[in-house]
Amino acid sequence: MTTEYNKPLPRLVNEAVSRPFWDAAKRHELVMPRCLNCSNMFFYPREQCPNCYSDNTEWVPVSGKGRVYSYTVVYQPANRAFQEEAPYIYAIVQLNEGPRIPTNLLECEIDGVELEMPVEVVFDDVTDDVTLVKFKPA
Amino acid sequence: MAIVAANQRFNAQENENAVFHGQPASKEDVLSSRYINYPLRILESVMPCDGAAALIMTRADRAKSFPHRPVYLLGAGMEQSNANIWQTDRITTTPVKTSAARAFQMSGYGPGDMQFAEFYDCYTILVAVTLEDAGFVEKGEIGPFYESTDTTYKGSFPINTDGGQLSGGQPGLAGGFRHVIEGARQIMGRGGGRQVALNDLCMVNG
Repeated sequence: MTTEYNKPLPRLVNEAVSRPFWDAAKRHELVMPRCLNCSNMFFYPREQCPNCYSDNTEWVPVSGKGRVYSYTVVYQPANRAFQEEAPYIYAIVQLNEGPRIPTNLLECEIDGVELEMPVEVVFDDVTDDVTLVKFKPA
Repeated sequence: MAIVAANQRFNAQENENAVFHGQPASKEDVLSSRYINYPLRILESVMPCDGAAALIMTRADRAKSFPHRPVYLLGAGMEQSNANIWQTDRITTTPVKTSAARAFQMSGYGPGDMQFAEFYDCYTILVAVTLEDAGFVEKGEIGPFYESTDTTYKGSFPINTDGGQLSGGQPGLAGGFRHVIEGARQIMGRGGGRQVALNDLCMVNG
């Protein structure tokens, strides 16, 4: 665990909806919202299913495995707090279960990323309270 | 992609209001500039600036008595996609595919009829996918298109004749509308040193 994490932490804009995701991450579990009406699994968390607009949703565990849908290498972060980590990989990972999640790729050379590359989840305990969901080559 | 930036920088040398007026940049300059987000380099990214845009819209019969050649709006289309790009169905297809089709349908013209274009260009890649999604170029053929087409104001298909935002600067919320202004200016024949030769039909994406 990093004892001095001085970068910005996620600010939950709708804590009631998204808290289960962060609580699960802290337990090193990856969970996704799923619609109980149409079975659509989706991300980011929100009050209604983006497919059928039902507000009858649940949280389900997922495998944590997926593939790189797209990526970039960040040389100049929008937030300067992350400059010391540059260059780093910002990726969109498509989970085997379907939803996409924006994330960072760890344990990967910046010129070693390929589209559709298999990846698996890594839980980055950046503070005592916050765990970030990242991925690494599988 | 480097040619997108270089050709627009060439055009900006005839626009004294451009942020990079007096600072030409070649394809090689673009390719040797530093990365911001791979594969986009700093010369493929906009420079923020201040600015505003406005134009006068009136009835066609009244426009005829104005001092400049009237510019007619023949067709328009609008479409939007997800606020988060990672939520879109296909990251390589933009809402331009739908909005351009609507605009062409309303106008009765097609991509082959257009003589020049003013396309939103926060980054070089957006000009490229706009050309593809609007139907000017087959998907994936943007590289050969730029290598074989002179897109400067002197060329066979001028694009972003005032330098675009890449070389002119990105004036906040006026960023999209500035492309309308340049398209209208060219059709009026008020392009000055960067006036295009064929100025009857232009497509704008803001």
